[in-house]
Amino acid sequence: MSEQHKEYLISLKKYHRKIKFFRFLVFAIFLILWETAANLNWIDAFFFSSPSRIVGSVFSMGKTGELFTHIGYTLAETVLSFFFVMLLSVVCASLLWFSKSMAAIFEPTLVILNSLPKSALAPLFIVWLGTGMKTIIVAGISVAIFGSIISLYTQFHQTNPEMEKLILTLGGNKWDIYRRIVIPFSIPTLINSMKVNIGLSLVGVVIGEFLAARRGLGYLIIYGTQVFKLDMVISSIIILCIIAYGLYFGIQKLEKCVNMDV
Amino acid sequence: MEPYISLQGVSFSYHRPDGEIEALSDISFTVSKGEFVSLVGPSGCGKSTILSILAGLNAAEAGTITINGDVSFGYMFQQDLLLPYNTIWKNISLGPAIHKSLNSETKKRLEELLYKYGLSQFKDKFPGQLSGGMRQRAALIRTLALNPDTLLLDEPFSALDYQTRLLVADDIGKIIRQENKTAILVTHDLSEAISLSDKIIVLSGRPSRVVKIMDINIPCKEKGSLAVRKHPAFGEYFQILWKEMNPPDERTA
Repeated sequence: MSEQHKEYLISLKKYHRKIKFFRFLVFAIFLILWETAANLNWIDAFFFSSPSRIVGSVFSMGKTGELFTHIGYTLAETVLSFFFVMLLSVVCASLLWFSKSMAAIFEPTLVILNSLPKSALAPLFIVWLGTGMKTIIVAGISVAIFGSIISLYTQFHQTNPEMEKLILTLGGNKWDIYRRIVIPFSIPTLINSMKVNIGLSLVGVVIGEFLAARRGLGYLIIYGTQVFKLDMVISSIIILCIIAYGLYFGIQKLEKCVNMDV
Repeated sequence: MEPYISLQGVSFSYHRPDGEIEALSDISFTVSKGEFVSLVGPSGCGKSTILSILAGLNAAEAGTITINGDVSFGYMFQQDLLLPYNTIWKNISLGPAIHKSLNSETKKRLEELLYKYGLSQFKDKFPGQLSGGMRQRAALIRTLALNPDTLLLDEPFSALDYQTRLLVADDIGKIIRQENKTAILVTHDLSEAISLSDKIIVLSGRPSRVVKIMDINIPCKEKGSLAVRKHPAFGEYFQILWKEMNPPDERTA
């Protein structure tokens, strides 16, 4: 390794350390400012809470185990609706790819359903399915599914026609094209749509919990607002942030595993 | 000798919502077993359509195609079309895998082909790690894997740079002669056609018609296309065919 390259690597390391440091610093300043502002009554801690009150609130909810039940429900509902979104969108996009007429018939329907604000459907789901976990999961699915089908189908459709011809000249059929060309070429899009869908599922689940749940972080937020326990509300929002990041991080890990295979 | 493959008055048009594109009009020619035939003509004149029809991907709209005995076709494309997520080994065994005939016998054959054509040590590499020429050779092995008796070559060298192109054409030409295959090559490169073929069929612009059929008799064919290019007869054939492809009245028009 040349001296210049060593220097380059060192400067690169320094740069990353600097970025990490400033990220932490920004976060710390934000927390300190918030805490100070609350303590000195610049802001009303009853409405705006404060880091220490949030920690206290999390601890007291955590002690009874109540908080973990809520987190568990939200997590389980999100993961389940994410699972169904992925499963259904791969199945639907594949069917549309296999049948050109079916794709042409359903295209306008999909476009309309995708542009519809899905939260408008949630009240209907309550009437149809009651106020249980089923409703929440369906709400989560409804937010992500249509966009997911459209983006997957678009990708499926973009396979190089020469590649399809190659499979045909080697004696393969449409199923061989699907299995050996369409799916492998769509893996990056599939992973991207997973990243989008995990976030959207969480959005749908929280909307569902707002309207129709007795458990879950969405319920905690609504309940907390109604009884003016704003520490509880803000704690829940922060936990949601952590969950969203964690889920996204999980998929990113998965992406790295897949990339290593290739 | 009875022709191996013969086309009689074959015509074909592409149908689009905005109109009909006549690609082939009254195409007739024959190919004997073991012969290397080239179809030359201007770009976009429907040459590739002839290969598609022979491979059964399109059906001729008029005319007849007679094939004497059992002919299996292998197709080679302009791009190597190696699957980037598969190793060279998986790529070349794609045909047998599709036919579910990947047994120890075919595996042995593939190993032999890899060895013969200098790709043995690359079999676990991915296509991205190979040069353009090696990739095209891998694509040829993929085509040979199903042991077709006739190769349909759809401008397989035109995506390569000029240097590589001459070398790969030489390479692949030799391989095809060694394996005793019949070959039909589509190209717009006249010198490439002369250097490789036993017979050249000159086609006109769209819709394609047969303008001229000419046998190429250059004695050093077995030594490969680079040797043919150096032979004095090469230039003569080039002159004659060049005139056929570019008649003087058309050039001034």
